Amino acid sequence: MHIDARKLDNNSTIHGDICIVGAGTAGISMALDWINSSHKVILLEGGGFEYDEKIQELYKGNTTGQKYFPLKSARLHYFGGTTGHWAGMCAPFDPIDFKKRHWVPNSGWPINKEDLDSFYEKANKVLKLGPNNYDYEYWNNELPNLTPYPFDKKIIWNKMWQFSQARFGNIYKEDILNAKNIHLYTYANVVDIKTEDNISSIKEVVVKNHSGKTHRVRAKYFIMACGAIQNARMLLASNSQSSKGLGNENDLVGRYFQEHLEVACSEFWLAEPFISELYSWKFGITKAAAELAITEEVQTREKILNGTVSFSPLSVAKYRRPRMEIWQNGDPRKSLEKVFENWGEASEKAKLEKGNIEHAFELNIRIEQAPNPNSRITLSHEKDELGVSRADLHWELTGLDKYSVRRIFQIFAQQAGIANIGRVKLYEFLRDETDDTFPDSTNGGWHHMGTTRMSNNPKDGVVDSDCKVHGISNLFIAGSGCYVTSAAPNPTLTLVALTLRLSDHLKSIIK
Amino acid sequence: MDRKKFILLTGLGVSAVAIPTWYFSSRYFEYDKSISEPVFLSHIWDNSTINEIGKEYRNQFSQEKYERDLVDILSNNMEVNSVTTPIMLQEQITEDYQKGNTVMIDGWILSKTEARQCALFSLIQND
Repeated sequence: MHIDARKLDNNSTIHGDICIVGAGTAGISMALDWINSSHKVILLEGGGFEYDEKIQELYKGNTTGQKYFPLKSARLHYFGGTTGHWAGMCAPFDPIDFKKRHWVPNSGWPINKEDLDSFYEKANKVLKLGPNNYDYEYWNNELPNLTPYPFDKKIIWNKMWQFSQARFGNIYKEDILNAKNIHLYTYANVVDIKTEDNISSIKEVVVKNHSGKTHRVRAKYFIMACGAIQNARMLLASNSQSSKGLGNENDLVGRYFQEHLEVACSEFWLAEPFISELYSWKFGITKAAAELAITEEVQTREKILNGTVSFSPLSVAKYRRPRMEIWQNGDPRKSLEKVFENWGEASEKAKLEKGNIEHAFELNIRIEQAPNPNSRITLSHEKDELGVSRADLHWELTGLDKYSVRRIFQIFAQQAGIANIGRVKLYEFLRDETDDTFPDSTNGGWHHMGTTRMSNNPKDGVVDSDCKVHGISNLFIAGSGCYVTSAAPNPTLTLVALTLRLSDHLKSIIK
Repeated sequence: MDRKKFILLTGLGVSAVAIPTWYFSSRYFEYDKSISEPVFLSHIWDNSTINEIGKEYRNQFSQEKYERDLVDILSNNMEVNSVTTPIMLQEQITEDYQKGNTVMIDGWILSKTEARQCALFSLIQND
């Protein structure tokens, strides 16, 4: 069922059993899981079914620290969320990602990989992926020509990825609209979360839109599913009853913001062509491919973060500009267009490149960011058109991030030398071992994580292991904001799995 | 001839023979040039790049800037000939990578042995 909140009578009150705030990846994944249940689900979406500049504008905010994309264009704000233009890269986290690592400050989840395994299975289906199998050996039997580089498996392993083309706004619109117990309200932007007087439970959320309408939504349980930045923003901005905001007794909401560092780091020159489809990816065609990952043993020995190495033909990559330089337009459609434009130009120029460069690659890192309390979302003094303080981001990286990136390529170079297949040339920014900084060209992955981190100790986290906000009995957070650490893979598969786990938990307590 | 003159003349005589011998032997000593050919790197670089990397190595490691020093280190008491030398050097290069005995020259992470080969190559090129 769909209701346009602009067309409701002003000051309407909507009632439901559960209220999901946000109809992006997490929100829709959860709503789908409740279809045909006996419970009335309210699904709130700030935008409509298409891009709307006024709605997108609500995401605008300032950034400081490490150069970042304009916040306005870093997510998509309409039904389906950022799946509207995502690349669809999916891989599960590794067991080490959940562990307390003594060399990674503030690491360690209160759950482990096994707690998510059955939900990864379901998440694979929601994202329309292939089988929930990410073993190289499995895919090597399924697909032709997946020859791996001859590296020592005790040092480097092939981490497999699958590629989703699921645009939630398209593929799940009818399911949601046809579900009798799912009530989707579009143009329903949450502007405030109101608690009961003792601030131990949520009474209602206040929603507004540009038509000047204000409504209230009351439910037994509320699930914030607006993305890591907007969830933190709403908790902080809901400060009329609790001056620090909700769930923020220990000043943790918004902190530990994490991104993936996706950076071109080196060249890899092979002595002769290496024929394999294992490390390449074509959108819409490739079913599975690998990136090279460092084993848990080596990460532990070297005291480094978890990251993977991917390959781009150097003849093309040398003409590509860093996405952080190109993606600076606040309109995500224009920024995306510029990226594609640059890629097209690079491909054309590459056709003229001949000789040894034809078997050379640019190596890119994809790596977690060490959890850092100073990397954070705060409220701006500026307000959006609906009267809510905007989110500001201070993105801050650490020496461990830089050390890990450099060390991974040194390890890779060593393995390439032992295998005698190629040699590695580090890019300038990695050569000085005393330099902890990252250049402005450092890309993020548009992955926002960690602003409402999980811990069973309220002093260390905003939500508990069930994703419930500490101290508030009926408020939950869905999505990558709950991540304690961010692992190497793109966050979507894991955030869907975590959301389905939360959904399971809610079903167990709502009975 | 008194004792002092005898010692002086003897010394001069020895020097007259030894110094030119040392000079010419160090300048023009013979060895199999295969030791100066980085086989793997020649698949990815042209001679000019090998030369530049070699020069940069000699700048970074000034104690290894002479041809004889580099030949001595690279040959490491092995008999140098064009058949066995490339094989033995390749083994040494692999061992370097295994042990982390690498250097960074202009961003390239290289085995010390192959970097020395480049250095030797660059000296020969400059002759």
